[in-house]
Amino acid sequence: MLYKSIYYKLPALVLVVLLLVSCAGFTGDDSERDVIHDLNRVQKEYLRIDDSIEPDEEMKAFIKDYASDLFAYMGRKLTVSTGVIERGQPESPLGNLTADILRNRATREMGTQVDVAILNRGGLRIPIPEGEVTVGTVYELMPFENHITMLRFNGRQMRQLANELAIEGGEPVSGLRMRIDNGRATDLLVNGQPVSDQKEYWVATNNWLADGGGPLPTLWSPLERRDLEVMIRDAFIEYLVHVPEISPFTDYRIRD
Amino acid sequence: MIDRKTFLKQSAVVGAGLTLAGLKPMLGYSRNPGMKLITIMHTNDTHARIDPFPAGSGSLAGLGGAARRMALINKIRDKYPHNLLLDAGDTFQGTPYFNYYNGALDFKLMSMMGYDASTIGNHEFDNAVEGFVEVAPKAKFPFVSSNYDFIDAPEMAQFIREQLVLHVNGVKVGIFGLGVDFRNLVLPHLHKGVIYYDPVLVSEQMVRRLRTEQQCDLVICLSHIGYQYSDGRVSDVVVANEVDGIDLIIGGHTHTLLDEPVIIEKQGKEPTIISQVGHAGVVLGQIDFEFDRTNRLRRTWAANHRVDQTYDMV
Repeated sequence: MLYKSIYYKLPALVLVVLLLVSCAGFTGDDSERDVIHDLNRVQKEYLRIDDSIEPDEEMKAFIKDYASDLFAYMGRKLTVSTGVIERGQPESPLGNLTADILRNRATREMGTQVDVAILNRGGLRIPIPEGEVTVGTVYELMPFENHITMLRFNGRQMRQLANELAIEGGEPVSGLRMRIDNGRATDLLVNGQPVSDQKEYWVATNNWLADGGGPLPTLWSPLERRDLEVMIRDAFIEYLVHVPEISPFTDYRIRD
Repeated sequence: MIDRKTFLKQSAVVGAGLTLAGLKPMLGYSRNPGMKLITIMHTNDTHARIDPFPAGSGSLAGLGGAARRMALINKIRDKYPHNLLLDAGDTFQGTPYFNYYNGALDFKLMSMMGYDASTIGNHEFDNAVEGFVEVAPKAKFPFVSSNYDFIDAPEMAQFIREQLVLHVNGVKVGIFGLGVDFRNLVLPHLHKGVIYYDPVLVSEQMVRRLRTEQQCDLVICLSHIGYQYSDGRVSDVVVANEVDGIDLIIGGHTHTLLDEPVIIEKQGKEPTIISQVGHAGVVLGQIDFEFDRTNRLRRTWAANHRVDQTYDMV
């Protein structure tokens, strides 16, 4: 379209011709010189792919079949969000929601109280937009094939873990409250109680964090580990389909 | 002397809407008799973004899309008959298309677009070695990876080339590939049988092979190690500074949208150009190289046409 329309732009064309004559002049000179790269002449613009480019019809038709299969599956409505649920630190509406869902599901799977859930904010790939939340939304939010991993820790390890969260500036958590003071965790509460050396705690997380991904090394050496056959994404979908709506919220579980 | 960039920009202002795209057909052929022009088109981190970004995606809304990319590539090919289309990895993961089709559709589309080569990004291991092997036959182009050793993953190795030599317009182009360190990024069971080696050492070896043994005229690195890091980790900038003899590094991994290709100048040596175009196929990079009769690289420039509404106002 761009190319056709130029023929109607006589004044511009005249300029183009003038321009080319001038450029050709420069080029001729340069080719005589013994330069390998004439770096001053490096042109530096990139091509942006936007709606000024008409899509290739053949490819568009090819994609359409795949897309309709995909959207039949991904377009299923789960719930409605009353606002944009954003990522962030030290806590965030998206981190709070997803970590709460994880702890809730883990508690059900374990048949016993799960004290804490931890996710990594980098693994939450998009904010949940306001309005309809579909299966596709959850796939974009959590595209990874990660499952729930249960880890058991003693009180000392829990304090160490809280400090690692503090160094990171906060990650999505549930069941844990703390304040970050100069990169250290203070006022640490688990289930509303101070952490006790006499107690042990179950932490729900994803296998990526437990397997050595991410910045929380305490998660790599638990007292005990159990891998559940529940995909994190499936836990999200299953929760969301059972609530009429979700809303962004923060409750100062991690604060500066 | 006024350089062309400034010159074009000034002209565009004077011309009030002069479409730079209109210039391209003329630039497609070398203006100097006997000089040969080779055009490199490139993408990185396309991340299963087959449809354009939907509304509500902030600054990226409405951008990208495979069918548009195909149309743009075809347009460029019409004007630049001697070209290569290259990608710097992370085709996998990012939209439900990946979860549903496991990357097979992306590889089919890239084959339709006529990609000449890609490399292995960290997300290519998201469904483990087996997941890549399952869909790799859909790719009608080779994957070039030089610092991953697929020693105990022969089923993956069959899709990988350590180096690639292509003849374009009588010029010999050598291509090698770099992948990022697996540590804290790709879990061991997902890259089972694949070992990472230091990109700098491997690059030196690859350049020696391509330049000296294979006598390549142009050496290109498809890199998925990232543009630059504050902690000094190995990156495109580090490789460009420490290794001589790479003409162009096509980068990826850090999703860096460079405003323009970066030129790493070297004392008494030929410079290395680094180019990376963000992610998700929003931008297509184009870099042209001009060679003389003896296949000596004379001049380099990147695309000077932007295809967007800014220039579509007259």
